[in-house]
Amino acid sequence: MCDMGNDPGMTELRRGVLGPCVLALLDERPRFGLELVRDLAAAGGLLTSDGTVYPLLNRLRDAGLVTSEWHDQAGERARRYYFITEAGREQLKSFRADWTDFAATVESVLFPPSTEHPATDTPGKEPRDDRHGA
Amino acid sequence: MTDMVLENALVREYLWALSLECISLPVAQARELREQIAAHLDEALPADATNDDVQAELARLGSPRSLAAAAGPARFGGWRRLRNWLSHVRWWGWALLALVVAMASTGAGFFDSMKSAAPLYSTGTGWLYPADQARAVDSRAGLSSQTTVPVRSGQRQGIELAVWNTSDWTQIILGTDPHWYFDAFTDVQITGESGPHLNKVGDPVSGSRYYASPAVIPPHSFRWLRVTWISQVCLVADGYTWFGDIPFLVRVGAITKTEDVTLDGQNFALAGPSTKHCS
Repeated sequence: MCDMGNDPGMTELRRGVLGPCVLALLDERPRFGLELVRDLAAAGGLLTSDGTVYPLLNRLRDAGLVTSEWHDQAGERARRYYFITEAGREQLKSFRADWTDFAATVESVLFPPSTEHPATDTPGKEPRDDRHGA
Repeated sequence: MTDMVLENALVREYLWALSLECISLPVAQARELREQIAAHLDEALPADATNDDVQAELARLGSPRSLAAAAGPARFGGWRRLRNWLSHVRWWGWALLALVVAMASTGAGFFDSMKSAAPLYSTGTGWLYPADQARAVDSRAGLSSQTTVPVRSGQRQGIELAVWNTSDWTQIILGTDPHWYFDAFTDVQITGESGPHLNKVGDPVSGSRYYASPAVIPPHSFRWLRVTWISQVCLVADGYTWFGDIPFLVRVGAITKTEDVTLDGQNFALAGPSTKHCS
């Protein structure tokens, strides 16, 4: 698991990017709550706590970026699936474009050419979270 | 959902704490979050999960307070907070509150009615015992009149008076104010007309009437009362003592109060000298 730290700055950063990350996962395919939580946790360092995903989903739904539906198939437990909406896709597209530039800018400021990049210290280590055994 | 997971004490405690923390959120939002967390736990935990498993899953979820904080603005204004809090009150809570308010209002109304019950008043008086009636001397000064009898020291003397109760409450005369004539009149006794078939003006419809204690006067009714005492007052020759009202201790419903009943403009006087040794 990648430890991205618990300082307030990182918490704010996580909070800011968690919404687009949820939209990105839902853009791949609809997911139910626990599935979404596990996938986000597996990505590593995005979640401060699993439970905060649900208030976020509700806010995204209230903003019209996702919708939810109960699926109750025979032989399976009833699950509430979340779907990205067209407005959600537009927002994700816009964020992706902004993020690329933003990340490059932050990277250039934090790691000028004279500094050694920390990513080169641990080559090959994947920042994944295996808390749920995903 | 499987009941087994949601019946786990740790899970129940967590969901209860979450409900409490969400009290300041709109009720629909709070309910939805609780349902989502319950569904999450139900799916994440196997039916045979140990307490360690449950604790680990709850720790991953985060504290109920942090979830509630993530679900709403950090601070609501006082009014909105109150409104949200009130919206969590179920219909039976409001029904119970309404019942309590209705009972309190009714009780307060009754209490006020008892306190403000019309006071007793007297419309006729006279000495009770023939020994006093025979020796009474009446006099008049302006609008007031006075009837005077010799004090019979150490003996029981008394008066009879007609008393009206015009209130909606039965009034029960328990006695006189303890400070009324203090040790000058001792063993004060009050009895009232009674009987199984008295009409509103105290006349027996059938059978005979008698006097009993405590004196009970039904609403909008009239009864004769007898007030007697042992005269212990110490008077010299030409000395006298008198009273023109009696402070009765009266029970009206659940309250007891003092009612000062004037004796229809009549003053009752005991004249000296006392027939026993006075110190």
